[in-house]
Amino acid sequence: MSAATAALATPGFVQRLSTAPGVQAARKAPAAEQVCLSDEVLFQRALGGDQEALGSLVANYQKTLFGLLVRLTNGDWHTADDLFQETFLHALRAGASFDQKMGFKPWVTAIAVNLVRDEARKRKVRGEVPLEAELDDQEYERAGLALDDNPREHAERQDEEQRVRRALARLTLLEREVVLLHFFDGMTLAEAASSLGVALGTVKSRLHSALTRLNNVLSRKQA
Amino acid sequence: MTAANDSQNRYEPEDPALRRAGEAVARLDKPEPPPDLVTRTLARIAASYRPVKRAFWLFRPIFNPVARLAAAAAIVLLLVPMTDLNLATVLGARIEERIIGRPGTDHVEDFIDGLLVRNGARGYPQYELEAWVGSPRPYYPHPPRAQGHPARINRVG
Repeated sequence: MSAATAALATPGFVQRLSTAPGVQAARKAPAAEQVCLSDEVLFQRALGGDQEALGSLVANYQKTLFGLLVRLTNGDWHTADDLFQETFLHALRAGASFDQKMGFKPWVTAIAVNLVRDEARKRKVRGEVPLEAELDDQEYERAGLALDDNPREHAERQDEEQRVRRALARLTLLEREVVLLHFFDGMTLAEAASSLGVALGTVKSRLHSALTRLNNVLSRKQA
Repeated sequence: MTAANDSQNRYEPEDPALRRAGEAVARLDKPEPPPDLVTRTLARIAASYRPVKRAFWLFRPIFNPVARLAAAAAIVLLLVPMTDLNLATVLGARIEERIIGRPGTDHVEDFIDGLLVRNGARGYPQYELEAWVGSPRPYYPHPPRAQGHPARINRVG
């Protein structure tokens, strides 16, 4: 964390951004307590200029959010890396509109999902390879599956992973979003609905159609 | 946990094939983030993040398309009554009287007259025009002399 904190010590880093209620109170708590603070409190502290809190928050989300972004972009690690950074930048800029009731995770995930949609739109306009067609297996190798003692099991698991990833890549972005949020990221239906900005019923119907399509692709591949 | 709560939390399709597809996605490995991701993210934030100054609500841009349409409709609704010359005359006079004031109005008229003259159109003092059309300003006496752009005054003679 020391390197991360050093990066924030550059002049110009915002010291006071928000006047949102709770920032002042949150700032008074000693730094040692940050280990057990909720994401919402950490975010409020980060908005108040607490660099340690921001570092903890980014570190807490680096695995889940980055993983989700890699899956949403079909394994484009560079784009996922870029979007991860953008997500926190956008979150800080939009800090004043953060709704405590929504919770930090669905809120920041909503920002990430919107950034992925923007990226997909930009690619379409620029005529670049769409996210749907992107599937970088080499990059996936970097993520790698933990090498099991049994090479056969390892190979089978890797094969299964690849099959599912390829099937996911055949879904539309809207379908992939909802499947990944609920099954991969472990969000509840209500959280997924608030992240995607749609009704609960819409999430359920999208999940159903996405799973049907996913199942069709998977069984076709198996056959 | 109640059934209602459960229906908001988990999606469990009755079809076992769909359930298996969902489980297969859940079993996917979480990609390991690059080791320096946090450091780079914080460095980027430090480099480009500046506090956003809050602008007065009236000066904020409208991004919502529906709100844009509503704003355009409001402007149109405000301006449409001004096509009625009787109303516009009364309103204009009140604006002159209560908001802008006589000297201010004269300056604006002089400026516009000057522009018209500079662009080749014939220009006349406002009070002359009003006298000619037989509709003098309702609330103000005529000024003793023309106070306008020199070019216009010379041309009018």
